[in-house]
Amino acid sequence: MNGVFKALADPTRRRVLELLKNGPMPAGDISAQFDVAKPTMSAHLAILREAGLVEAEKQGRMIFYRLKLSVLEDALLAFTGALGLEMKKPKLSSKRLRKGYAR
Amino acid sequence: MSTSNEIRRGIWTALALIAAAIVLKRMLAGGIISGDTSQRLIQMAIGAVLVLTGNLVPKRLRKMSEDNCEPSRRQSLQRFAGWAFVLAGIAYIVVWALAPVDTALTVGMCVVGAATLLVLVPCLWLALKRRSAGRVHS
Repeated sequence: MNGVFKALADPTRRRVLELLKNGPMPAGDISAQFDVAKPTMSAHLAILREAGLVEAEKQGRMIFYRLKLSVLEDALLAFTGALGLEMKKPKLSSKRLRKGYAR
Repeated sequence: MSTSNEIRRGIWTALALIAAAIVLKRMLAGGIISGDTSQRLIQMAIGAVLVLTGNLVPKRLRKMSEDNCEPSRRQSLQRFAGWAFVLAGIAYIVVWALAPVDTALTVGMCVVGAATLLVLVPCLWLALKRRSAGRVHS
C-alpha cells in the first residue's frame, strides 16, 4: 500500500492514470502528452507498474499501458487529485528518479 | 493477481464466512445475541464480501491480444462494475445495520439486484452488438 501512496503522490503520475482512464495507450503516446523527458516518463511508468496501478503489455514493437486500479485505489486517486496532494520533496532530475527507482 | 491467489482468497473468504456463521450460531444458542442481531451480522458480512469482490473487479485484466472485446470498453465496463458492486455492498451493510429487518430484507435485495442489473445490461448489450456485427461480417 505504501507503493500506491508513493505513486499517487506525484501529479504527473496522477495525470498518467487519468489519461489511461480513456483506455490503454502505447508508452510513446503517453510520453507525448507530457512535457517531460522520455527517461523521466519511463521512470514514472515504472513506479506506477511497481505499485500495481498500471499493467504493461507488449504488442508487436509497442508497449501498451493500461489501468489496473481497484475501486479503493480509484477513490484514492480522485481524493488525492481533489486535494492536490504532493510529496514535499525537491523535484528530482530524471537521473536521480531512475536511481531512486532502482534502489 | 494470479489464479491461484484468487482461489486462495476465495477459499479464505468462504472459510471466514462459515466460521462467522458457526460463532454466531453458538452465540445465539448461548443467549448472548438475539436472532435478529445474528441475522444482521451475517448479512453485513455478506455485504462486506460484495465490497471486497467489487473492489477487485477492475484489477482482473485479460491479455489484450486474447481479448475479443475493445480494451477501452472492457476497462470502462469493469470500472463501472467495480464501483457498482462496492457502492451496493456499502449500501447493503448500512441498510442491514440500521433499518428494521423486514425493510432491510427488501431494500437490501433491491440494492444488490439493481447493481447487478446495471452491470449486466451493458454487458449483454455489448455481447449482442458483437454477435450481430459478427453476423453482418459473415
